[in-house]
Amino acid sequence: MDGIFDINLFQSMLRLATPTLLAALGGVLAHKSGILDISLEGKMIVGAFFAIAVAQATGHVWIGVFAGGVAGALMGLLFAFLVITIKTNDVITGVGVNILADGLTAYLLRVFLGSSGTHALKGVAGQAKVDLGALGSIPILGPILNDHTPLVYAALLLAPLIWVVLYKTPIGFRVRAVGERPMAARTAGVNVEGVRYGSLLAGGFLCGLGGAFLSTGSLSMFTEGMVAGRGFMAFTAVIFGYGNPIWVLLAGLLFGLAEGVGFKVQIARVALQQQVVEMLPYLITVIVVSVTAWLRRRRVGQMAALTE
Amino acid sequence: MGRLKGFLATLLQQAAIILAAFLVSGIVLLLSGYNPITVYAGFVKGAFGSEVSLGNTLRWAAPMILTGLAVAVAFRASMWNIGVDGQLYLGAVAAAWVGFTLTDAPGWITVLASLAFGMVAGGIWGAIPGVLRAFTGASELVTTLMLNYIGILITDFLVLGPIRQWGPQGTTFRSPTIVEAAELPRIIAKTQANAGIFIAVALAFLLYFVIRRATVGYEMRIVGTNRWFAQYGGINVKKTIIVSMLISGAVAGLAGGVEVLGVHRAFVQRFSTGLGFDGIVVSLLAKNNPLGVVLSGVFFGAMRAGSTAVERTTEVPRAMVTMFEAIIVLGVTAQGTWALMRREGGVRAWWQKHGRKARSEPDNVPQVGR
Repeated sequence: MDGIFDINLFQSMLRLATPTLLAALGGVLAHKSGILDISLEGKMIVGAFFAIAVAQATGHVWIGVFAGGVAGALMGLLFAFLVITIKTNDVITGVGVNILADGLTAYLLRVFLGSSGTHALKGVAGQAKVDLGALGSIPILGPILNDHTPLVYAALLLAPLIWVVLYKTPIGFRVRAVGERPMAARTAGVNVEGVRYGSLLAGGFLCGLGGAFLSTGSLSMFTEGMVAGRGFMAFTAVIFGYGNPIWVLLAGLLFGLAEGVGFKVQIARVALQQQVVEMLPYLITVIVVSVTAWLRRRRVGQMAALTE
Repeated sequence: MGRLKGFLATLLQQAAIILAAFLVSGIVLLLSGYNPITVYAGFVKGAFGSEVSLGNTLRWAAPMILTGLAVAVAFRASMWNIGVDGQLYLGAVAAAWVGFTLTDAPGWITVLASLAFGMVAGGIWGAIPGVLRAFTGASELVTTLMLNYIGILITDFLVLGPIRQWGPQGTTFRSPTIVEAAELPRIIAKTQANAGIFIAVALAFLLYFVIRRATVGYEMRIVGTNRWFAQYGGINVKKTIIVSMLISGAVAGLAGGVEVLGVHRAFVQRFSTGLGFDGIVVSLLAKNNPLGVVLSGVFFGAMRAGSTAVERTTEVPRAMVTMFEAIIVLGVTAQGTWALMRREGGVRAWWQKHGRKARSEPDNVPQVGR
């Protein structure tokens, strides 16, 4: 076990947690405005794809990242339109958006990027890592926080930032009001639909960024199926944190840690089969979601928890 | 007569959704530089144009009907099973194991045992989210999906280790081949269409009657409609939730078993090309009705056969069908709103109640669709 829990693990934890964390923070916005959004996965997928595609087309990775965010926001717009204006079933629509993202990116990958399954970024510089300089020499915390690409820091800073916005600003108050007492908010003159559209758009942008980081952060490629359930892990993180960004941050870091342990075990060649450690993030998600629900049930009552 | 009329009306509605999906997909094809008419003609030819095409359609229809049934059964109790692939894989690996281990038994016993083991494996895997939902309230949306990935990884582990036969053929590993006695016979020469289609259709009828007539089906339907009411009526809601997920997983496991015994004749790593998610779309289009699932499954089987053929001759990727499926899903859910609109007295009345002006009225409760 020695070679596993070291500084290096926690350094990679931050990097591995970032995509899920960004998406989860996006999910927080939707959750707080009262919308059940399981299409985080789909938004990440389009974010990942368009980041690579646009980066390839323009030659700049950061334009690609921004495009990934925009793609996520557009998916969020589609989802918002269907669920808020047309009032379709939120779960089925979420599933539909996920399938759409999967098919659309696979289709565009083949038709416009001419590849089958994977596209590696050619001739475009990847994201540059940031050197924290003096801060990097702080014992323990320094090396963990140093040498990451900017989005990692962005994710870490966004969590408390979103907390502040949600709980200390008028906009955040409106968002929470819409989520908790839409009727009262409406009476007070809040444009409920507008607020929801806004949170889904902003949330979609963040999800797209999460996906973009996945494809351009360390590796520079898009592979079909690369998101691999992270969007759903992000959804779980949102539920775990009751939509509170700080708890969501912790959940996200936990998932990143699980993934990091997996890699470490592989490298250390501990006698644990590779698949077992690959299962770790998913297993932890199941445990987290069950414990969260059980705790909620004790508050809310059995039957209420059984009913959707 | 009323039921027939209702059935025809539903058929027309679903056909309208399919048509809309073809239209939108056609636009996408056009924008990508393809001729939609040629592509669609290729689909039809690839699905029904020859005996081989028909065979391909039936080959894909079988697992799609089965996964569709799995999703439909769970949905009857308002449970979302989106981890069908994981249950399918575990069922497949169990069936394959029996298939290559049971070497001395007569054909029908081997087939039966293989499929039974497959159903048990899938059933257990499906019951886990059911138990979690019943006893902790954990959303099956998340648990089925997480167990999906875990299940697939378990089979990866098994086929790379304990049950590995050959090294990579390309990049996949496979288990030992099942004995001939365990094979599901092919029904159309030169294709992989097999007796699994009969199993699928028979199961559809069986489930239809179970849901409509049997006690357990009744309980599932009531729990699916209103859990408070079910509890009040004396139904054991927890048990019903678990049973519905158990059956759902078992059917998914059966789908895996059929694929192994009928098509691959061994467990091949990662053989399922998204059959689980196809099942969701199949079931949605069929409005979660087991008999409708048969029609829907054949339709999507045809789409699969057609698009594979088209991909060989042109360059239109099969991902086209995935997008098509997404449009169908979104169309189905919009259809739910359409039905709601009609119940509330027509589009105009609905808009008066929910539209821009109405929304600024203070006592208009803003809702997100359910």
